[in-house]
Amino acid sequence: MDKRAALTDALADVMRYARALTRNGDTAEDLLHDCVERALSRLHQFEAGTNMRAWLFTILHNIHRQNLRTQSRRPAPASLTDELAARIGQPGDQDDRLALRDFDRALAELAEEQRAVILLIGLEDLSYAETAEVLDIPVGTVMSRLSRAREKLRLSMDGNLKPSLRSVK
Amino acid sequence: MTSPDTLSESDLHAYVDGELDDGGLIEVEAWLAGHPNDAAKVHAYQLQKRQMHRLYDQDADDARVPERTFALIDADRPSAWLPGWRRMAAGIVLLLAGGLGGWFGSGLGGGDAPSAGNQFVQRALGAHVVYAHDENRPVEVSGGDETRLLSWLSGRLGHKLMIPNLKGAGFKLMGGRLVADKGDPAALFMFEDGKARRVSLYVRPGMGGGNTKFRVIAEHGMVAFYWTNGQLTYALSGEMAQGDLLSLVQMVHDDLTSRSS
Repeated sequence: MDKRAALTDALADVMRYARALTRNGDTAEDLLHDCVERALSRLHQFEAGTNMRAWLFTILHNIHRQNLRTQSRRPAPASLTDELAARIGQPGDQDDRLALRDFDRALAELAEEQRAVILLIGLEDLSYAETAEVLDIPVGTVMSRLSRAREKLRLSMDGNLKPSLRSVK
Repeated sequence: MTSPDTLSESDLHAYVDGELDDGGLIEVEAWLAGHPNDAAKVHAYQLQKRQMHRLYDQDADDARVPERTFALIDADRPSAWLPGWRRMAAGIVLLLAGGLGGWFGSGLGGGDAPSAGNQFVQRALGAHVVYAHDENRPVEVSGGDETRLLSWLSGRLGHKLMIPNLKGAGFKLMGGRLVADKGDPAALFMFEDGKARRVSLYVRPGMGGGNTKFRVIAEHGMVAFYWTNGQLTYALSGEMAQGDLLSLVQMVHDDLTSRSS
């Protein structure tokens, strides 16, 4: 496939990832835009047949890192939380919706470096090796962040499922 | 089937994420059958993946991608490049349309009106055709009194204007005039060289967007380039080869930029 077409096809997924990672719609849009701009200027470096999404995630993370370094403070991550809360409020099983809301809250509380790993692997279906490359960290670090993030999420969800146990004490 | 004695935490994750080969898969499944706590973990991790998809999959939608980002890709299409002039200046996008019909503008600086730049440059070219060919009165105020000309037009546009120096290319300022650009005041400066070739610089307050972009249209031997710095939008029109006009555009842009910074 033409590289430019492959890039266009990948945009929606990169948008999803940018939003889930930063939890801020404006930040995500800027990040995507800068990522595409840089990708276009380096399109000749992309090897046909390799994973376009992983390549874009790598560029996106490089820009994101630079932004965080130069910004004196991070943008408030609140905007998406409200939007997601509204989204979860759609009709459906009540317990199920509450669980989803709690899950989103737990995701938001993860350190961003852990959220990046869990999203790249769990949401974007990248392999461990690809994730290591995107984040420029060893595969071992990917595994340990993944394991810690998932345990944190699991424990916080477990806690929510047993409120009576906690209130007894 | 024998069950392994121990299993690492990472094996559980690798199982969830499909990172195991067949042998590893069988091993982990055998382990999980006899270890309900680990099986519960695996179940929880699998649920986490499904929940992430439920939360975020609707964001994987082209409608979420800003128009300006798609415009970037459109503007980068190889057919849009003018061969040889690729790197006219860092950060400058140069597009060529083979005529007004072939225009594929996507807005000035990715602004909201896709054809704003197109319409602007057509008006500039139209003004050039009307005034540059006027033998009697191509300008209202002659370039002899540059200070008065500038203060008058700057006042009308509400922006401090500058007149580029094109003497290096043999073009002298003839003067300028006030023109109506879609109901707004705009300024037109006319230049002429020793061979009586005329070029006009058409300036109006910015039309949205902040990026400098050079675009060109060519029609019946007339060529116009336009660009914007966010504050002011410019078009340079002339009846000459694109390459010749382009070097003038570059001269205008460099001169104005160096003096305003």
